[in-house]
Amino acid sequence: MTDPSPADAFRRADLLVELRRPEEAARVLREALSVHPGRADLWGQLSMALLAADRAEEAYEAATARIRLAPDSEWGFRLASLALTGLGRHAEATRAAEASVRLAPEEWRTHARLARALADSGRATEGWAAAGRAVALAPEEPETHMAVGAVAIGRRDWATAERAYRHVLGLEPSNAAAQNNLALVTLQRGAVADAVAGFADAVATDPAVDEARRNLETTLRVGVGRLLLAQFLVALLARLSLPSEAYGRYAAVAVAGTVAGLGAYARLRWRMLPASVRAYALSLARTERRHRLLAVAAAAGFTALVAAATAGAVGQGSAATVAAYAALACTAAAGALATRL
Amino acid sequence: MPDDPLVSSLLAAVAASPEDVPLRLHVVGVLLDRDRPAQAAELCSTVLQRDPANAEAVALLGRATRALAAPVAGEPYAEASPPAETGGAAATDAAGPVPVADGPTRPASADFDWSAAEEQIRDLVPPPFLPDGTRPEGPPPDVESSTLRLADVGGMDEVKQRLEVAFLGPMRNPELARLYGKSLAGGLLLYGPPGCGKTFVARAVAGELGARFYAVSLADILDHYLGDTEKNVKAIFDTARRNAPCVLFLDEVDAIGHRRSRIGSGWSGLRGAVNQLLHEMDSVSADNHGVFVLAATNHPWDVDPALRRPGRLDRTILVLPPDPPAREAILRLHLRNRPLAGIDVPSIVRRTGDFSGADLAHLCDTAAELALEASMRSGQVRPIGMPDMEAALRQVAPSTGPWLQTARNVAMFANSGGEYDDLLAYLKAKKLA
Repeated sequence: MTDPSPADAFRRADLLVELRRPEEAARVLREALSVHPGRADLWGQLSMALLAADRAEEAYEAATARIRLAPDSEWGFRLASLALTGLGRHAEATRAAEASVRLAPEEWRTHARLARALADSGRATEGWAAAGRAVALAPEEPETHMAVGAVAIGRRDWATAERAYRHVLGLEPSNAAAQNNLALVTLQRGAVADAVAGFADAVATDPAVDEARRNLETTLRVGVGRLLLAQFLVALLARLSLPSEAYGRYAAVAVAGTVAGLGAYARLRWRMLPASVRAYALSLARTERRHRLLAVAAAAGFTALVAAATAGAVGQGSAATVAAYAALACTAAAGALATRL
Repeated sequence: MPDDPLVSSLLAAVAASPEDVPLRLHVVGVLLDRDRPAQAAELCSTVLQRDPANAEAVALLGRATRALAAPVAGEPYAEASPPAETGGAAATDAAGPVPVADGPTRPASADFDWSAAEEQIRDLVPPPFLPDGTRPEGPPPDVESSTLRLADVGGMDEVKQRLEVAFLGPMRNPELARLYGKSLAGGLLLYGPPGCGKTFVARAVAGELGARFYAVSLADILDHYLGDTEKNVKAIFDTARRNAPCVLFLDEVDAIGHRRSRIGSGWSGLRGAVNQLLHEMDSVSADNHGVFVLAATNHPWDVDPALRRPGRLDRTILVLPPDPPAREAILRLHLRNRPLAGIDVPSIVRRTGDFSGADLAHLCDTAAELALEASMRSGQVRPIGMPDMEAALRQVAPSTGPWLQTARNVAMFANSGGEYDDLLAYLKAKKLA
């Protein structure tokens, strides 16, 4: 590669970051910086590339170099704030963001950064004003509404967060981060199936970002966990009531009815999931041992529960007890697997 | 001429490693010994096009042209062959070619008919300099002739079969294709994990079509075309049209034809590049100038959907990590010309299931480094053995893992149109989906 001019290196790196090749961008910039170490713009761009490459420590160093060379520019402070957030140093990230706001109060990016830094520091209420200023300065920028969403989540204001993310998606329908965050908000509001569908949409929009898939998996496990808890309670009821000679048969009918209801509810929830999620869940059970064990244990627990109800209905108290114990054991094992996966 | 297994395998090795000049020259020696001077001269000329000062190539070309100019074998007064200038094929064993002993050039033989020889190789060796004020009429340096054929690609039978059905067959039988309503317009998109031979396959497709091969990559766009992107995308297609029949190979097409919906405001040139690419692809389809557009990407999901519509890159072929026969061929290729002892290639093949071609090359290099290090420590040359390969296997992990994870997301969640069914089938076969 020929020795690029600083301007060429800057633009090339910009494009490479956009094309998700941040490592290549960083290499281009380091080469250029070895010839032009005094170029503050290249240090800033390098920090940005390193942030995109999840190398927060180095990104912070590059941002610091940028600040040394251009102390009157907000960009270095904003980059430093981003890097510090990546390093989990939220208080410092907030201070850096505040410095960037002081240097460029007319720039929406500084306010959006400050809002997010405050939200990450647990000071979402203070972040609210910064997010508002960002939106006032650039209402057409999706990033300002993302800041509002982050602050609203911090304030547990789900309705505002949902509105903010929907607004982002109106401006930029292929924003996978907004889809993911909207699904998280939906989950907080208790709409598990909708949340799962939202995560699936986010994965489809941007398959390279794995966070939405992990969220989807976690949500599925939470849903399965709730069903298993219900199954465990029914198994406990069966264990306590079915051996009774006095009302065992009535209890068996009640347990059978509850089991049937539970099965119908599980089936309904399953069918509410998008086809892609059902296929994915089945593939997990097929391809990953712990998921397979979870599926087998849950199914065995359910079957044992049916057997317990049947044995109780025909007056086989001892058999019903054994089956109820088996249902408890299998369901507990499945629950343990669901929470530890 | 009947197929000679040695020559066939050597030609395959040349095709697999077109940059390997010593190998190419070794094959030239073998071809000359087997009385195939025309092929030898062609191989020599490709070396000289890249390295006009290569003394050994010059000497071998001289030998080839003399053989071409000589009376046919069996004639009673045929001139005896001159002594081999490279030491002869017998001396050029697998360890590599023997260097030229007599310096870079040799004096011309007084009785050699240079005019006849020049006449015969006129088409093979380009003139070294152009007359003042003239522009080159031939292909630019980055447009090359491909002698590679699909038969030279080890393994990958499914890919070859799909290429034949989806692309090469209709191209070779246009009337038949039209009879069945199969359009010849549109290009082909090769996708799969990095380092699995997409470029190699594209080169072989050019060879099969008897077309020139013009590869354009992201580096070209960035290094040469930074700035006036639309104009330069047009220039790329114009070059391809001028060199028709030509396979225009757009490597890393996800970079050149990135999803416009994901392009930010950072660099508007990228958006313009995609629009121009769409326009040019439509022009290629409409005019059918003998330009075959092939593209490759590791991330087809990042390619602008408009580029994959009918008439553009509407046929896709998944190029997967090499299958066992291909892995064996790649391993043997990369272990060639290295001191070896007791390498159990089938065992390595079995244990490198997800390795890409590049990973296999890295594996061989790592084993060689380990043997070299041991040799330097002990002061005695030690060949690469199975313990080195075992140690390398522990150090080198397949690089296809992250790609497969993303591919799984795509196949499971972004396959509503069925465009990734082949990928899904592969993942299911690998128990990954």
